[in-house]
Amino acid sequence: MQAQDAFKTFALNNNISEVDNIFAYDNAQQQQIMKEKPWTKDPNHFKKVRISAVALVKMVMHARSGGSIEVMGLMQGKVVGDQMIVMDAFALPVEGTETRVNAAQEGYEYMVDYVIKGKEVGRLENVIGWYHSHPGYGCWLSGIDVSTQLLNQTYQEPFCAVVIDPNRTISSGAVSLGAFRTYPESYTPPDVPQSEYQSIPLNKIEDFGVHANRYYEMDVDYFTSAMDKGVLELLWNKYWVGTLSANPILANWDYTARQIADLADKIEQSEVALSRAAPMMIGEVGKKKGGKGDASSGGELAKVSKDGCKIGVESLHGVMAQVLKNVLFNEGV
Amino acid sequence: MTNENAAYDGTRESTSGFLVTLHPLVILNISDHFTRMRMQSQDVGSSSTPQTIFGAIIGIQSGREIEIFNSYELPYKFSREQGFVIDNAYFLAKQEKFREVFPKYDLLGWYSIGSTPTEMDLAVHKQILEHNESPLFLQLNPLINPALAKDLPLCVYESVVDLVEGNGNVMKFAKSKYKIETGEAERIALDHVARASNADADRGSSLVANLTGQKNAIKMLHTRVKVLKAYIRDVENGTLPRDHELMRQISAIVQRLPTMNSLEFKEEFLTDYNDILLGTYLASITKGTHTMNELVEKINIVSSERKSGKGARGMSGISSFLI
Repeated sequence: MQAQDAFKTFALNNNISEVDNIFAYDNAQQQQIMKEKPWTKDPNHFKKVRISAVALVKMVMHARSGGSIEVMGLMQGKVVGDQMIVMDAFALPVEGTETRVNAAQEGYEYMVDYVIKGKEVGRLENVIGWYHSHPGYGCWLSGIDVSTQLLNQTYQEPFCAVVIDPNRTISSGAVSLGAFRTYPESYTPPDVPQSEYQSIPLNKIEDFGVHANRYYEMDVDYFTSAMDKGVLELLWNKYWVGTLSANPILANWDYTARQIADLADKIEQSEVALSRAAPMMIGEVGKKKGGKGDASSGGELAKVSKDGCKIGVESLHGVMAQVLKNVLFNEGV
Repeated sequence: MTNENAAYDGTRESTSGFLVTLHPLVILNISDHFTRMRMQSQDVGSSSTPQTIFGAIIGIQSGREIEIFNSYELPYKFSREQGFVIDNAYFLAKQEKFREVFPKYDLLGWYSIGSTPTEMDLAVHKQILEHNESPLFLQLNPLINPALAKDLPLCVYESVVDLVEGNGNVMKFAKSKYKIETGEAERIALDHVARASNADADRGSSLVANLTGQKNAIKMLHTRVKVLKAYIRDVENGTLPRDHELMRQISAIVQRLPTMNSLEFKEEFLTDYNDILLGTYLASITKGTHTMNELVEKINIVSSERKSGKGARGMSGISSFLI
């Protein structure tokens, strides 16, 4: 019993640092928010998603374990003001192929059961969203994703969609994750802000552009408890070896090859676009049509050059790591 | 005999030779569970039940190698007579659920909090025995201030059965060694969280992030080497006793340099190196082409506006030549 007493004094001494307040769950307050439904008034109500360390690690690992298959799961959390807080995530026993992730009946049953079971052990939060993986083709919502999310936002509010790209996570060395909410069908966003450019493989590109103005991306940040923070720091003492011994070139070998193949296709396309644009220039001289040609052909080439640079930069990072290690462990002696 | 001694003998090391590897997710899970419990029980005040948490750990065991991948919480009841009783029905149902998503994972043991195993833990351990013949017991010590600690506040125990005269079998915990293992994706996610929470990392170029990671790792290596160096100097000066075992280990590390110096390695290394430089070169050419194309189009627009219709042919001649 000594340990327990000591623990109590510990809890008193450390009395609940501010960071940990986020872990408390106020049922009455959540019910109140559920009643008020502030999100129905403004389609842009939710601006930010905060994800706990546990949820992030779980989602990334699950996404990675799927390999080239899309996997999905659900997130539990709550709402604070215009922020959605994701406390935890769990995997669903459903697998999707390509852009067709679909939570079937069994997935739904699993979810209900999981949440009820969770309440018994102090996971009081309700489901607040779903996540799925886009292995290798970036974080955005496809047509199917948009309709799934729209359906959920109609019946399950508050709800958000998170997309993770495990392949890009590995290749860039930073978690590639996006959080989205769709607009209701009656709503057209005033001006579509140009989202940051991301490279989409050719076979997905059609799906990408079409639905881009039906949803918006939210800011994402991450939080940890005071204890997590300490644990993470101590963990670094252990896994720094992993950082040093990782060989990103080898790890991304096939992904890089696929990217290059895709780039080759894109280059071919832009060549076609360019040669089409050239005769138009001759025919349309004098009129201001030159601007239009610029957008189609130059735009194509711009994307190709951006994609190319991205591949180049990422593999350069890998080579830098290797060169560093070579100097450290081989040549210095 | 005090409470602690009955359940745990500090001098005992595990003899089973299990190789336990632990994924950081499990530690985060337990830490999360603990934080949540603490936050939620706050307002309840001092209840009669001692605060603690229980959970199951799952993963893959093949032969003597045990890899712990995940964990989940378990509800329990507490009574003065029986101590902690794990909710068995819940446990079975939950295990079934987990199997649907992770068919490869088996139950490996359980976790709780505390500084050393107690008799109460032993009682729980016996409950788990029904599901796994040799369960592991993971104990997280929340009392240790992580800022001061050198190692993770976490111990792995396994149970050993002693034959005691007249007493029959007595079960005790024995400490087992473990190591931390991270998957590539897991490592990146951890790094991401750690960096995001340490400092509001401004989204600079990816180069900076990449090199910072490398720098930190090398810094870590450097501090470790410094420790070894300081130790050897102290031994030389006679301030520290000479430990031959340690000396041999240090010598083994030093002997491993250069790590890889064969001709084959150099060749492979250079091939990789040049391949990637070539790739970067191609990317630069593409970028150059794009810039050139833009320039040509701008010239076209300017010239067509200036000499509308007349002299533009020369310029479009250039553009078709370049393409």
